[in-house]
Amino acid sequence: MESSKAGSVQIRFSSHPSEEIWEEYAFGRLDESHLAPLEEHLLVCMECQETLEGVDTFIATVKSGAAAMQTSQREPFWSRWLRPAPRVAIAFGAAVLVAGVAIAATLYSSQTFLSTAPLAVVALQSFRGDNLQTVPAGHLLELQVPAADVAAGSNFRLEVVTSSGSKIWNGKAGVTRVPRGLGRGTYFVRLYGSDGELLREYSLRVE
Amino acid sequence: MIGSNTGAAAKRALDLEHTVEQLQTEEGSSSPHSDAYSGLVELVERIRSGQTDGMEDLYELFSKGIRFYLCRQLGPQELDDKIHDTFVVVVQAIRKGELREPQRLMGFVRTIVRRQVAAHIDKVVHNRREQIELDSTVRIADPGGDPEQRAMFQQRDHMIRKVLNELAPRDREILTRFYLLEQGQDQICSEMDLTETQFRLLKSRAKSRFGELGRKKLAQKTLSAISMRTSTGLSH
Repeated sequence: MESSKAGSVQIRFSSHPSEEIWEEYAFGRLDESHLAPLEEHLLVCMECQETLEGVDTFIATVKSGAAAMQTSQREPFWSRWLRPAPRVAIAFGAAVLVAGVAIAATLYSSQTFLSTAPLAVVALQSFRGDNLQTVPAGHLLELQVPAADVAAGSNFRLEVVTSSGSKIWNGKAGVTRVPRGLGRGTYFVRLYGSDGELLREYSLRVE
Repeated sequence: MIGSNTGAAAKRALDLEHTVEQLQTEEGSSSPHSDAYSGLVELVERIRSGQTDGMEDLYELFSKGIRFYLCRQLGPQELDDKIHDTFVVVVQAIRKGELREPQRLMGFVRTIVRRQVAAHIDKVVHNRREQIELDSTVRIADPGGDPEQRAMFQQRDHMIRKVLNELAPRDREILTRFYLLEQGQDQICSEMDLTETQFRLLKSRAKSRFGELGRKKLAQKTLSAISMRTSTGLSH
């Protein structure tokens, strides 16, 4: 049991109002019948003075931060662009982005992403067993499809999968260069016809 | 959900009633002869008979509370004078026999403090009106304070905003609804589809998370200020 003492006067408290009640008090939601005993208690209880002070501070803190946040959210998005510093930053960012996209598109279309890697030309042969075609690891691959396997002028498509069947490259129609070097292991090159039908499968060993 | 929220509101009202009842019992309002209260009757007697130790005890018992109450209502300006004025009024009233039930001393002091607050506000409003009538070109203080103070407040707001932004959306929503928009528990529970228990847990978690993040940010800021000061000192 706590108490407030002054000379011979001692007031004992067996309990204190909860923080929720002090919040209601701080928001002015209590009527006079509830207010009177609380304020009388407050006049002599330092612990509750501290609690209420904490509640007041917390309310003021959240109010100032949340109000500032709501104001900035209400601001039209384009108004930030009109400010000098962000405008420069955005213009710079946009320029970098455009340049990046242009370079990537050029590289992709010419399939020379890893132009520093050497190129290996592979004449695909459709046989299985131990006689796998061997190609060096880390080389770009130029795949040559046997003419017998595709009808003249037909629109074929190539795909490279690992020995477990995971797709690692899916070429567009007529594209025969794999724009990345493959790691060591066994791979399969699949040949699809224009209607999407699987025509052939060639095996490769990368060493 | 609506049913459970109505039940929650009723339970909350009961909690409040219980707290108030308990306070009234302890403070002697309902049971004037309770032990917790007996010292006050004797204190009033000592003040009535003009004993100085009675005045001292009265001051010791109420000065912090009156200071807190007045400061909260009126701000820190001339606080000591206001406390002194309040005590003078209380003592004079007791000596004049205006406190008929000594066990109601706390309620009596509260009434006088509230009257003092009302009188002060009335005086300020009256003075301001007179001043405006006398001098139509009266200068109005800049509510934003001096530039340094403004910058400080802006920094603080920026930090609080960052902390709020880092909270989970639901935590942020409950804090904003309760503390900024001052929505009641029932409204929040119904609009966020929460039970009373969920509301309490969520609010409590949001508050502690907010405090935790705030402390971290403050520590970072202090550390960077110290390191900046140190590096500036080293460069000299």
